[in-house]
Amino acid sequence: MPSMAFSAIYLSMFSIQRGPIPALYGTFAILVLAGTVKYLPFASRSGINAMFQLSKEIEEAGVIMGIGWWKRMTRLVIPIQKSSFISGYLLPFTSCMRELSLFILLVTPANRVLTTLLFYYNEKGWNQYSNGINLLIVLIVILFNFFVNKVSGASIDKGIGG
Amino acid sequence: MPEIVLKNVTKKFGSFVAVDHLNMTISDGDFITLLGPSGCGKTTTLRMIAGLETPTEGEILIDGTVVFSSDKQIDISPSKRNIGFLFQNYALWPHMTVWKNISFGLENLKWSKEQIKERVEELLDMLKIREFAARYPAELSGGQQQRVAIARTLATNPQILLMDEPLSNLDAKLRMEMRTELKRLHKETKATFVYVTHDQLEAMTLATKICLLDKGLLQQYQSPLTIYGKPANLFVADFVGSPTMNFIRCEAKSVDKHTLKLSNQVLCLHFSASSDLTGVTGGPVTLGIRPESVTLSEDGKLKTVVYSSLPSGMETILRLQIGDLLLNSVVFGSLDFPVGSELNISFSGQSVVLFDQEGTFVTTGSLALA
Repeated sequence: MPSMAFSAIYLSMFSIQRGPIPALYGTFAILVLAGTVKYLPFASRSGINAMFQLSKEIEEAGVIMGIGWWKRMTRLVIPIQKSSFISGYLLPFTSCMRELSLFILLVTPANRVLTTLLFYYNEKGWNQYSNGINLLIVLIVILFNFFVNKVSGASIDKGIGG
Repeated sequence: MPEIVLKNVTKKFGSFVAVDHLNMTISDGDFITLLGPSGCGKTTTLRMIAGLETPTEGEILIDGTVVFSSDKQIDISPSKRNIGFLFQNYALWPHMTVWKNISFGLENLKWSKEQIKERVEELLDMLKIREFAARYPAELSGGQQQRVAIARTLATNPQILLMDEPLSNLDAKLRMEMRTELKRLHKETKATFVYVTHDQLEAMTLATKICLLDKGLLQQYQSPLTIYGKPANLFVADFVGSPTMNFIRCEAKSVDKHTLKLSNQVLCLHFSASSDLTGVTGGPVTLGIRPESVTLSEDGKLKTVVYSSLPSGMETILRLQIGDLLLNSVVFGSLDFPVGSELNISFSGQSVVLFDQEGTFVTTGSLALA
């Protein structure tokens, strides 16, 4: 779905209060929400694939020993899948960092994101400023990628690793 | 004492019947193998005993308590059945060291630290894996992983140990070693073992009793030697034994109470039964002759041609041709025979099996040329 259409839906849905949900327009929350929903398929896909890789015997071995569901998740499944879970976060994060069209309708002067700021400077013709922001975006993505790789051993260029 | 009873257990996957009305009693301290070709329902049966699979119908009792009953809506969780389960791929937890793999289940049972330490060390010694205690499963060979998996399964002292083709991922030499090891473990732990395999040799050598399944139906449930010597039907006879049993179809004619005259296009034989031949008076029958009963003899009257010869040092497996009939034979000793050479054979021993027209076991006896 085009990002623009996606954000238009969110704009019309949350510009007024609906039931228990307050009007979200102009808040940071709506940016998080739109970004999350937009990239959910990527993240869940990588998570599901990782779960398929895990044989069910790993969990059944725990079931037979009487290890409860919560402990099986926290002590067996998630630690084994740690790296693929983290790379599942990394992919949406890097994509979201350079997202402009998704946020352009949703931001207000009070809560800009880097890409919309870049767009704003560029529109004014302040090319040095926009170049600087561009560099910042690139640096942030590379830094995060680097740290996540270091910490988890996972990387999106090497697959789920292990 | 743990005794496993299966009553009319049926498992269906959609319309496919994986296990069909299985009745079986596994007594305490037995070493049972569930044997059969792939897809015959043996793993499903094992998983149903463990509680990892829910039967469609029937009742399962372990140690006198009903652990599953479709009528009474009872289904006790696997952890309360006092069982251990050894998986085909070992299913070790890759992010834990060997020590942790073994101790994790015990920690969960809230054993004290000293108790856990004592038990884990006992198991490390028992399975000779002490030097690997600090290693991760990925750093171990298949055989070592296997031992760790056994140690982990034994940790909680289960009275019943269920094993799903645990040796199928090992090489031939290691498999032989682990077989000996398993038999020793059975003695040491005094637990009831249920073992799934498709390897008939493994079943023969390990089990106190073999349960042979085909297409979800129980074919025979007896001791290995009974299954070998008195197979219940043609399927069992064909499945057990390597090289396979020779089957000769013939027409039978009754001579007296113990003797039949059997003939087909190439052979004419006399069969003397070891018991009374009730029921079979004539008509088509099948003879089952084990390869070791087909013996070479200078004065044998039956002339055969060597079709193929496979010497392995200790024994030679021969395929011999008589007319359009091919017979398997095993000759002991370092011998080889040129293909196409002529050999004289005779049928020895009392263990020739007679099957009736439907392929059901009738009796055993000896065979002589008419």
